[in-house]
Amino acid sequence: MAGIAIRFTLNGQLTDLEVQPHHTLLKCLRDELGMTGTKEGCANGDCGACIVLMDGKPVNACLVLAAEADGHDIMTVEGLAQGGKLHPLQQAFLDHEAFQCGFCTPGMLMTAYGLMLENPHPTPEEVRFALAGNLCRCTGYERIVAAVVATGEREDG
Amino acid sequence: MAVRKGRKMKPFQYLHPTSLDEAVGLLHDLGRDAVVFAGGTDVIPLMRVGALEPQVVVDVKRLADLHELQQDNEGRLHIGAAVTVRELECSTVVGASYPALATAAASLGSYSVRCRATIGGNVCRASPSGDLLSPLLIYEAEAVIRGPGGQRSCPVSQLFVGPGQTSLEVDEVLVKLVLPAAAPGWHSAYTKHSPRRAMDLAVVGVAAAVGPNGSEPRPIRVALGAVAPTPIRATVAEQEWMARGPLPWDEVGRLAAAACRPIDDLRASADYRQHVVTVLVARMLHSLAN
Repeated sequence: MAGIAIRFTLNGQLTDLEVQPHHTLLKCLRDELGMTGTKEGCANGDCGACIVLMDGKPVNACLVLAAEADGHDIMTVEGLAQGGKLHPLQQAFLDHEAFQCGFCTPGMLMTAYGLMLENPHPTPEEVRFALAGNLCRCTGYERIVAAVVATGEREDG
Repeated sequence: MAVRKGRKMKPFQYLHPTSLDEAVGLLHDLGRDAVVFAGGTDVIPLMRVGALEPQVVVDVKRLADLHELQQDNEGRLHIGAAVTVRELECSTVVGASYPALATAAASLGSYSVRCRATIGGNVCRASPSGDLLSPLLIYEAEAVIRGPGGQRSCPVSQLFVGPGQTSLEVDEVLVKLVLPAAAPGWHSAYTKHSPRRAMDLAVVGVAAAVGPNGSEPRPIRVALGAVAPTPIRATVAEQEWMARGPLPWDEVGRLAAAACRPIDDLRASADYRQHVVTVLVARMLHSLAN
Protein backbone atom coordinates (compact mmCIF):
# COMPACT_ATOMS: atom_id res chain seq x y z
CA MET A 1 0.00 0.00 0.00
CA ALA A 2 1.29 3.46 -0.84
CA GLY A 3 2.89 5.29 2.03
CA ILE A 4 1.94 8.73 3.29
CA ALA A 5 4.70 11.31 3.69
CA ILE A 6 4.54 13.00 7.05
CA ARG A 7 6.58 15.68 8.74
CA PHE A 8 6.44 16.21 12.47
CA THR A 9 8.55 17.24 15.42
CA LEU A 10 9.84 14.37 17.54
CA ASN A 11 11.46 15.39 20.82
CA GLY A 12 12.22 18.75 19.30
CA GLN A 13 13.67 17.38 16.05
CA LEU A 14 11.95 17.89 12.73
CA THR A 15 11.36 14.42 11.31
CA ASP A 16 10.34 13.34 7.81
CA LEU A 17 8.93 9.86 7.35
CA GLU A 18 6.80 7.76 5.04
CA VAL A 19 4.20 5.75 6.95
CA GLN A 20 1.60 3.13 6.16
CA PRO A 21 -1.95 4.48 6.64
CA HIS A 22 -2.97 1.59 8.90
CA HIS A 23 0.03 1.78 11.18
CA THR A 24 -0.32 3.38 14.57
CA LEU A 25 1.96 6.05 15.97
CA LEU A 26 3.08 3.44 18.51
CA LYS A 27 4.30 1.08 15.79
CA CYS A 28 5.95 3.93 13.93
CA LEU A 29 7.77 5.21 17.04
CA ARG A 30 9.05 1.80 18.04
CA ASP A 31 9.72 0.05 14.73
CA GLU A 32 10.65 2.89 12.41
CA LEU A 33 12.11 5.52 14.70
CA GLY A 34 13.75 3.32 17.32
CA MET A 35 11.92 5.07 20.14
CA THR A 36 11.47 1.89 22.13
CA GLY A 37 10.97 3.69 25.42
CA THR A 38 7.28 3.80 24.51
CA LYS A 39 5.80 0.37 25.25
CA GLU A 40 2.99 -1.70 23.81
CA GLY A 41 0.93 -3.15 26.67
CA CYS A 42 -2.55 -3.75 25.35
CA ALA A 43 -2.65 -1.90 22.00
CA ASN A 44 -6.21 -0.94 22.92
CA GLY A 45 -5.97 2.27 24.93
CA ASP A 46 -6.59 0.54 28.25
CA CYS A 47 -3.18 0.28 29.94
CA GLY A 48 -1.35 3.55 29.28
CA ALA A 49 2.07 1.98 28.61
CA CYS A 50 2.17 3.70 25.21
CA ILE A 51 1.35 7.21 26.37
CA VAL A 52 3.29 10.01 24.67
CA LEU A 53 2.60 13.72 24.44
CA MET A 54 1.00 15.09 21.29
CA ASP A 55 1.07 18.89 21.24
CA GLY A 56 1.65 18.81 24.97
CA LYS A 57 -1.26 16.49 25.76
CA PRO A 58 -1.00 12.85 26.82
CA VAL A 59 -2.40 10.45 24.23
CA ASN A 60 -2.32 6.67 23.80
CA ALA A 61 0.02 6.18 20.85
CA CYS A 62 -1.76 2.90 20.05
CA LEU A 63 -4.90 4.91 19.31
CA VAL A 64 -3.24 7.46 17.02
CA LEU A 65 -2.58 6.62 13.38
CA ALA A 66 1.00 7.36 12.37
CA ALA A 67 -0.35 9.54 9.56
CA GLU A 68 -2.05 11.78 12.10
CA ALA A 69 1.30 12.90 13.49
CA ASP A 70 1.82 15.09 10.42
CA GLY A 71 2.22 18.71 11.48
CA HIS A 72 2.21 17.90 15.16
CA ASP A 73 4.66 17.88 18.05
CA ILE A 74 5.37 14.49 19.57
CA MET A 75 7.31 13.94 22.78
CA THR A 76 8.35 10.52 24.05
CA VAL A 77 10.11 9.49 27.24
CA GLU A 78 13.41 9.80 25.39
CA GLY A 79 12.73 13.52 25.24
CA LEU A 80 12.55 14.05 28.99
CA ALA A 81 16.23 14.03 29.84
CA GLN A 82 18.11 17.02 28.46
CA GLY A 83 21.85 17.08 27.77
CA GLY A 84 22.37 13.86 29.70
CA LYS A 85 20.62 15.25 32.78
CA LEU A 86 17.51 13.49 34.05
CA HIS A 87 14.28 15.43 34.26
CA PRO A 88 13.18 16.12 37.88
CA LEU A 89 10.32 13.63 37.40
CA GLN A 90 12.76 10.89 36.40
CA GLN A 91 15.01 11.76 39.35
CA ALA A 92 12.02 11.63 41.68
CA PHE A 93 11.09 8.16 40.38
CA LEU A 94 14.64 7.05 41.24
CA ASP A 95 14.62 8.75 44.63
CA HIS A 96 11.23 7.26 45.55
CA GLU A 97 11.89 3.81 43.98
CA ALA A 98 8.76 4.32 41.91
CA PHE A 99 9.33 1.35 39.62
CA GLN A 100 10.15 -2.35 39.64
CA CYS A 101 10.05 -3.91 36.19
CA GLY A 102 9.86 -0.47 34.60
CA PHE A 103 7.41 -1.39 31.86
CA CYS A 104 4.72 1.09 32.90
CA THR A 105 7.29 3.75 33.75
CA PRO A 106 7.58 5.62 30.45
CA GLY A 107 3.79 5.95 30.25
CA MET A 108 3.63 7.04 33.89
CA LEU A 109 6.33 9.66 33.31
CA MET A 110 4.69 11.06 30.19
CA THR A 111 1.23 11.26 31.75
CA ALA A 112 2.70 12.94 34.83
CA TYR A 113 4.71 15.32 32.68
CA GLY A 114 1.59 16.22 30.71
CA LEU A 115 -0.37 16.75 33.93
CA MET A 116 2.30 19.04 35.33
CA LEU A 117 2.35 21.19 32.19
CA GLU A 118 -1.20 22.23 33.17
CA ASN A 119 -1.00 21.71 36.92
CA PRO A 120 2.56 22.15 38.22
CA HIS A 121 1.72 21.30 41.85
CA PRO A 122 -0.82 18.48 41.78
CA THR A 123 -2.29 16.99 44.93
CA PRO A 124 -2.11 13.21 45.47
CA GLU A 125 -5.79 12.95 44.43
CA GLU A 126 -5.13 14.87 41.23
CA VAL A 127 -2.14 12.66 40.46
CA ARG A 128 -4.15 9.48 41.04
CA PHE A 129 -6.95 10.75 38.82
CA ALA A 130 -4.52 11.71 36.05
CA LEU A 131 -2.78 8.32 36.28
CA ALA A 132 -6.07 6.36 36.27
CA GLY A 133 -5.31 5.23 32.72
CA ASN A 134 -1.81 3.96 33.58
CA LEU A 135 -1.74 0.41 34.92
CA CYS A 136 1.12 -0.95 37.03
CA ARG A 137 1.34 -4.60 38.03
CA CYS A 138 4.35 -4.25 40.28
CA THR A 139 4.42 -1.30 42.60
CA GLY A 140 0.94 -0.72 43.99
CA TYR A 141 1.15 2.89 42.74
CA GLU A 142 1.96 4.56 46.10
CA ARG A 143 5.57 5.42 45.28
CA ILE A 144 4.64 6.57 41.80
CA VAL A 145 2.11 9.03 43.24
CA ALA A 146 4.63 10.13 45.88
CA ALA A 147 7.30 10.75 43.23
CA VAL A 148 5.00 12.93 41.15
CA VAL A 149 3.71 14.88 44.13
CA ALA A 150 7.29 15.39 45.37
CA THR A 151 8.33 16.72 41.97
CA GLY A 152 5.56 19.29 42.17
CA GLU A 153 6.68 20.30 45.64
CA ARG A 154 10.24 21.03 44.61
CA GLU A 155 10.86 24.77 44.67
CA ASP A 156 12.77 24.58 41.41
CA GLY A 157 10.41 21.99 39.87
CA MET B 1 -19.74 -8.65 11.39
CA ALA B 2 -17.07 -11.26 11.83
CA VAL B 3 -15.23 -10.45 15.03
CA ARG B 4 -11.79 -11.94 15.10
CA LYS B 5 -9.17 -12.07 17.77
CA GLY B 6 -6.32 -10.06 16.40
CA ARG B 7 -3.91 -7.30 17.01
CA LYS B 8 -3.43 -5.76 13.62
CA MET B 9 -5.72 -3.59 11.57
CA LYS B 10 -6.22 -4.56 7.95
CA PRO B 11 -4.78 -2.00 5.55
CA PHE B 12 -6.91 0.98 4.58
CA GLN B 13 -6.52 4.28 2.82
CA TYR B 14 -6.36 7.41 4.98
CA LEU B 15 -7.95 10.63 3.78
CA HIS B 16 -8.21 13.93 5.61
CA PRO B 17 -10.61 16.30 3.86
CA THR B 18 -10.31 19.97 4.66
CA SER B 19 -13.89 21.03 4.00
CA LEU B 20 -17.25 19.66 5.08
CA ASP B 21 -18.43 19.47 1.48
CA GLU B 22 -15.34 17.48 0.55
CA ALA B 23 -15.94 15.11 3.48
CA VAL B 24 -19.60 14.61 2.60
CA GLY B 25 -18.67 14.03 -1.04
CA LEU B 26 -16.15 11.36 -0.06
CA LEU B 27 -18.64 9.61 2.19
CA HIS B 28 -21.25 9.74 -0.53
CA ASP B 29 -18.92 8.18 -3.09
CA LEU B 30 -17.44 5.58 -0.76
CA GLY B 31 -20.59 4.56 1.08
CA ARG B 32 -20.03 1.65 3.42
CA ASP B 33 -16.39 1.35 2.34
CA ALA B 34 -15.57 4.37 4.49
CA VAL B 35 -15.60 5.08 8.18
CA VAL B 36 -15.57 8.53 9.79
CA PHE B 37 -12.56 8.96 12.08
CA ALA B 38 -12.11 11.55 14.80
CA GLY B 39 -10.57 10.61 18.15
CA GLY B 40 -9.99 7.00 17.14
CA THR B 41 -10.49 5.78 20.69
CA ASP B 42 -13.38 3.52 19.65
CA VAL B 43 -12.73 3.12 15.92
CA ILE B 44 -9.20 1.75 16.29
CA PRO B 45 -10.16 -0.93 18.85
CA LEU B 46 -13.10 -1.87 16.61
CA MET B 47 -10.82 -2.11 13.57
CA ARG B 48 -8.35 -4.24 15.50
CA VAL B 49 -10.95 -6.94 16.14
CA GLY B 50 -12.48 -6.70 12.69
CA ALA B 51 -15.77 -5.19 13.84
CA LEU B 52 -15.03 -2.40 11.37
CA GLU B 53 -13.12 -3.14 8.18
CA PRO B 54 -13.19 0.03 6.12
CA GLN B 55 -11.36 0.46 2.85
CA VAL B 56 -10.98 4.13 3.65
CA VAL B 57 -10.68 6.03 6.91
CA VAL B 58 -11.96 9.62 6.59
CA ASP B 59 -10.36 11.82 9.24
CA VAL B 60 -12.68 14.75 9.99
CA LYS B 61 -10.42 16.57 12.45
CA ARG B 62 -9.26 19.11 9.86
CA LEU B 63 -12.79 20.42 9.42
CA ALA B 64 -12.87 23.77 11.22
CA ASP B 65 -16.69 23.59 11.48
CA LEU B 66 -16.34 20.64 13.85
CA HIS B 67 -14.20 22.40 16.45
CA GLU B 68 -16.56 25.12 17.62
CA LEU B 69 -17.03 25.55 21.39
CA GLN B 70 -18.85 28.82 21.71
CA GLN B 71 -21.96 30.43 23.12
CA ASP B 72 -24.09 32.39 20.67
CA ASN B 73 -25.94 35.66 21.30
CA GLU B 74 -28.90 33.77 22.74
CA GLY B 75 -26.75 31.85 25.19
CA ARG B 76 -26.95 28.55 23.33
CA LEU B 77 -23.77 26.50 23.46
CA HIS B 78 -22.44 25.15 20.16
CA ILE B 79 -20.20 22.12 20.57
CA GLY B 80 -18.49 20.89 17.43
CA ALA B 81 -18.45 17.14 16.88
CA ALA B 82 -14.64 17.05 17.02
CA VAL B 83 -14.42 18.85 20.37
CA THR B 84 -12.59 16.51 22.70
CA VAL B 85 -14.03 15.11 25.90
CA ARG B 86 -11.06 16.71 27.70
CA GLU B 87 -12.05 20.15 26.38
CA LEU B 88 -15.56 19.61 27.73
CA GLU B 89 -14.17 18.41 31.06
CA CYS B 90 -12.09 21.59 31.40
CA SER B 91 -14.51 24.12 29.91
CA THR B 92 -15.70 26.78 32.37
CA VAL B 93 -18.95 27.40 30.49
CA VAL B 94 -19.78 23.68 30.41
CA GLY B 95 -18.97 23.34 34.10
CA ALA B 96 -21.08 26.35 35.02
CA SER B 97 -24.08 25.91 32.75
CA TYR B 98 -24.19 22.18 31.89
CA PRO B 99 -22.63 20.48 34.94
CA ALA B 100 -24.03 17.04 34.10
CA LEU B 101 -22.11 17.15 30.83
CA ALA B 102 -18.91 18.27 32.58
CA THR B 103 -19.18 15.46 35.13
CA ALA B 104 -19.92 12.91 32.43
CA ALA B 105 -16.93 14.11 30.42
CA ALA B 106 -14.61 13.76 33.43
CA SER B 107 -15.90 10.22 34.04
CA LEU B 108 -15.14 8.94 30.53
CA GLY B 109 -12.14 6.68 30.04
CA SER B 110 -8.93 8.19 31.27
CA TYR B 111 -7.03 11.48 30.97
CA SER B 112 -5.17 10.42 27.82
CA VAL B 113 -8.29 8.89 26.23
CA ARG B 114 -10.23 12.10 26.92
CA CYS B 115 -7.54 14.11 25.13
CA ARG B 116 -8.54 12.32 21.91
CA ALA B 117 -12.12 11.06 22.33
CA THR B 118 -14.71 13.43 20.89
CA ILE B 119 -18.32 14.25 21.68
CA GLY B 120 -19.21 13.44 18.07
CA GLY B 121 -17.66 10.01 18.46
CA ASN B 122 -19.56 9.35 21.67
CA VAL B 123 -22.83 10.41 20.00
CA CYS B 124 -22.29 8.53 16.73
CA ARG B 125 -21.08 5.39 18.51
CA ALA B 126 -24.51 5.47 20.19
CA SER B 127 -23.56 3.07 22.91
CA PRO B 128 -26.51 2.65 25.30
CA SER B 129 -24.09 3.48 28.12
CA GLY B 130 -22.35 6.43 26.42
CA ASP B 131 -21.55 8.85 29.22
CA LEU B 132 -22.19 12.08 27.35
CA LEU B 133 -25.53 10.94 25.97
CA SER B 134 -27.93 11.10 28.94
CA PRO B 135 -26.72 14.65 29.79
CA LEU B 136 -27.35 15.67 26.17
CA LEU B 137 -30.89 14.29 26.56
CA ILE B 138 -31.72 16.28 29.69
CA TYR B 139 -30.28 19.43 28.12
CA GLU B 140 -32.41 18.70 25.02
CA ALA B 141 -29.50 19.19 22.64
CA GLU B 142 -30.03 19.56 18.91
CA ALA B 143 -27.80 17.71 16.46
CA VAL B 144 -26.68 19.60 13.35
CA ILE B 145 -25.93 17.29 10.46
CA ARG B 146 -24.51 17.92 6.97
CA GLY B 147 -25.25 15.70 4.02
CA PRO B 148 -25.23 15.97 0.25
CA GLY B 149 -28.57 17.77 0.37
CA GLY B 150 -27.36 20.38 2.82
CA GLN B 151 -27.68 20.89 6.55
CA ARG B 152 -30.41 19.62 8.85
CA SER B 153 -31.10 19.61 12.58
CA CYS B 154 -32.92 17.20 14.82
CA PRO B 155 -33.20 16.56 18.57
CA VAL B 156 -30.22 14.42 19.53
CA SER B 157 -32.67 11.85 20.90
CA GLN B 158 -33.75 11.10 17.31
CA LEU B 159 -30.23 9.99 16.45
CA PHE B 160 -30.26 7.00 18.76
CA VAL B 161 -32.19 4.14 17.18
CA GLY B 162 -30.55 1.05 18.68
CA PRO B 163 -27.40 -0.19 20.40
CA GLY B 164 -24.55 1.23 18.35
CA GLN B 165 -26.98 2.49 15.70
CA THR B 166 -27.79 6.02 14.66
CA SER B 167 -30.26 7.41 12.16
CA LEU B 168 -27.42 9.12 10.27
CA GLU B 169 -27.19 8.28 6.58
CA VAL B 170 -23.93 6.83 5.35
CA ASP B 171 -23.06 10.15 3.67
CA GLU B 172 -23.92 12.41 6.58
CA VAL B 173 -21.52 14.00 9.05
CA LEU B 174 -22.51 15.16 12.51
CA VAL B 175 -21.32 18.78 12.58
CA LYS B 176 -22.18 19.91 16.10
CA LEU B 177 -24.51 19.74 19.05
CA VAL B 178 -26.37 22.87 20.10
CA LEU B 179 -27.45 23.05 23.73
CA PRO B 180 -30.25 25.50 24.63
CA ALA B 181 -29.26 28.35 26.91
CA ALA B 182 -29.11 27.25 30.53
CA ALA B 183 -32.33 28.41 32.16
CA PRO B 184 -31.91 30.13 35.53
CA GLY B 185 -32.72 28.22 38.67
CA TRP B 186 -32.11 24.73 37.24
CA HIS B 187 -29.79 22.29 38.97
CA SER B 188 -28.48 19.25 37.12
CA ALA B 189 -26.05 16.39 37.69
CA TYR B 190 -24.77 13.12 36.24
CA THR B 191 -23.98 9.94 38.13
CA LYS B 192 -22.00 7.12 36.58
CA HIS B 193 -22.53 3.91 38.48
CA SER B 194 -19.64 1.58 37.72
CA PRO B 195 -17.31 -0.76 39.65
CA ARG B 196 -14.17 1.27 38.85
CA ARG B 197 -13.72 5.00 39.28
CA ALA B 198 -12.11 5.24 35.86
CA MET B 199 -11.65 3.27 32.65
CA ASP B 200 -15.04 1.63 32.96
CA LEU B 201 -18.40 1.67 31.24
CA ALA B 202 -21.44 2.84 33.17
CA VAL B 203 -23.45 -0.05 34.58
CA VAL B 204 -26.16 2.57 35.05
CA GLY B 205 -25.92 6.24 34.06
CA VAL B 206 -28.35 8.85 35.35
CA ALA B 207 -28.60 12.48 34.27
CA ALA B 208 -31.15 14.49 36.23
CA ALA B 209 -32.28 18.09 36.45
CA VAL B 210 -34.65 19.96 38.73
CA GLY B 211 -36.12 23.33 37.79
CA PRO B 212 -36.81 26.38 39.92
CA ASN B 213 -39.48 26.75 42.55
CA GLY B 214 -42.37 28.73 41.21
CA SER B 215 -44.41 26.18 39.37
CA GLU B 216 -46.17 23.39 41.24
CA PRO B 217 -44.66 20.92 40.87
CA ARG B 218 -41.15 22.05 39.99
CA PRO B 219 -40.18 20.67 36.58
CA ILE B 220 -37.82 17.69 36.48
CA ARG B 221 -35.91 15.90 33.76
CA VAL B 222 -34.40 12.45 33.98
CA ALA B 223 -32.38 10.53 31.39
CA LEU B 224 -30.88 7.08 31.77
CA GLY B 225 -27.95 5.26 30.21
CA ALA B 226 -27.09 1.58 30.05
CA VAL B 227 -30.62 0.42 30.87
CA ALA B 228 -32.23 0.27 27.42
CA PRO B 229 -31.17 -0.26 23.79
CA THR B 230 -30.51 3.48 23.62
CA PRO B 231 -30.06 6.25 26.18
CA ILE B 232 -33.59 7.28 27.17
CA ARG B 233 -35.57 10.05 28.80
CA ALA B 234 -37.69 8.76 31.66
CA THR B 235 -40.70 10.27 29.94
CA VAL B 236 -43.37 8.35 31.83
CA ALA B 237 -41.86 9.32 35.18
CA GLU B 238 -41.66 12.97 34.12
CA GLN B 239 -45.26 12.97 32.86
CA GLU B 240 -46.60 11.28 35.99
CA TRP B 241 -44.72 13.86 38.07
CA MET B 242 -46.27 16.75 36.15
CA ALA B 243 -49.76 15.20 36.30
CA ARG B 244 -49.81 13.99 39.90
CA GLY B 245 -46.83 15.70 41.53
CA PRO B 246 -45.15 16.45 43.69
CA LEU B 247 -44.62 12.76 44.39
CA PRO B 248 -42.20 11.15 46.84
CA TRP B 249 -38.79 10.89 45.14
CA ASP B 250 -38.83 7.12 45.68
CA GLU B 251 -42.00 6.92 43.61
CA VAL B 252 -40.35 8.85 40.80
CA GLY B 253 -37.41 6.43 41.00
CA ARG B 254 -39.77 3.48 40.68
CA LEU B 255 -41.56 5.07 37.72
CA ALA B 256 -38.22 5.67 36.00
CA ALA B 257 -37.13 2.09 36.63
CA ALA B 258 -40.42 0.73 35.29
CA ALA B 259 -39.70 2.32 31.92
CA CYS B 260 -36.25 0.71 31.62
CA ARG B 261 -35.51 -2.33 29.53
CA PRO B 262 -32.12 -3.35 30.90
CA ILE B 263 -30.28 -6.51 29.95
CA ASP B 264 -28.24 -9.06 31.83
CA ASP B 265 -24.65 -8.82 30.73
CA LEU B 266 -21.20 -9.43 32.12
CA ARG B 267 -21.31 -6.14 34.02
CA ALA B 268 -24.63 -6.51 35.82
CA SER B 269 -28.00 -8.20 35.81
CA ALA B 270 -31.12 -6.49 34.56
CA ASP B 271 -32.62 -6.70 38.06
CA TYR B 272 -29.62 -4.97 39.57
CA ARG B 273 -29.72 -2.20 36.99
CA GLN B 274 -33.43 -1.69 37.57
CA HIS B 275 -32.86 -1.44 41.30
CA VAL B 276 -29.95 0.99 40.92
CA VAL B 277 -32.13 3.26 38.77
CA THR B 278 -34.76 3.51 41.53
CA VAL B 279 -32.09 4.41 44.06
CA LEU B 280 -30.04 6.86 41.99
CA VAL B 281 -32.99 8.73 40.50
CA ALA B 282 -34.56 9.26 43.91
CA ARG B 283 -31.26 10.23 45.51
CA MET B 284 -30.25 12.65 42.78
CA LEU B 285 -33.61 14.40 42.52
CA HIS B 286 -33.69 14.80 46.28
CA SER B 287 -30.20 16.27 46.26
CA LEU B 288 -30.86 18.59 43.32
CA ALA B 289 -34.11 19.85 44.81
CA ASN B 290 -32.45 20.86 48.12
